[in-house]
Amino acid sequence: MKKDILREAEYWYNFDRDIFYNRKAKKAFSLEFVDDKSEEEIQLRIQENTNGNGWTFYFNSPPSEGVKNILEQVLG
Amino acid sequence: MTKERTPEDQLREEYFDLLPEITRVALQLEAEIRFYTLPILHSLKRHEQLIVESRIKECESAINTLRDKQEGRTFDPQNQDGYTLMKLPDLAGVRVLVFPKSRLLEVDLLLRHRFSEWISKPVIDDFGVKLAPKYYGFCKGVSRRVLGEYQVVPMLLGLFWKVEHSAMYKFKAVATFEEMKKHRASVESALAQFEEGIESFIQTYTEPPHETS
Repeated sequence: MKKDILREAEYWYNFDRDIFYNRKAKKAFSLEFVDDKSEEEIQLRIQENTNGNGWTFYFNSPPSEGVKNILEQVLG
Repeated sequence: MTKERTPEDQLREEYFDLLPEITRVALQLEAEIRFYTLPILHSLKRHEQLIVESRIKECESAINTLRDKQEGRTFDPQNQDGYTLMKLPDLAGVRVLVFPKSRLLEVDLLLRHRFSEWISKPVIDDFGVKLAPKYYGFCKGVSRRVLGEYQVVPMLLGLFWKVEHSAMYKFKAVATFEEMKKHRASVESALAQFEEGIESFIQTYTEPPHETS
């Protein structure tokens, strides 16, 4: 199951924002993205290399800069 | 330095601007539904029930509902004017709890006739099963900004939803878990069977009315 895949990869759930996040990997998945995409795609995104400097958000609709800023503050 | 207004601030202002109309819509809708269903209420048998309840959605609950529709549950601060509570169909709502199902169908039919221009949006479970009829629209002469909503719900299911809503309110992720969907469907199915069981018992063991010659 998709949520098990995220748990095994040490993603936590933020109840206020409905996102799964991993601070070390600096990646966050929206609940909608997780629900809509396949297990394979979630797995691929978890393994995907990012530059690691800033957060990467996996959303169905890419978040605006304003939304990213707020979420980055929330996630620390 | 003045703090920037957030979309939440703007929505709170909108809510309190709309509140008198929300209140009027809720009162009007409740009064109309009580009036239309009076003949049914007066003809109920001892074991049958019909309860009409209205509620006004609270400010933070309304904002949260709108926030739930945003991915990441975050309003875009650059899109302040893009959000409005007037899109919500349930700022003013009425729930009609009915037992048994035969009475529910009667109430639904009657109200559908009275609110023929309202849009149907039934409550559907996670597996596509229709659980309860639900409609929304404007109360003529009361408000053109605030939508009203009413639903006609099997009594036990409606009471379960009250408990379920307060337990699951902040746990959207839990609610979307496959296991939880199954648990919820099991409860809803059990409650429906329980109601059908009572109705079937009554039909089977109640003496039919005497025919007068």
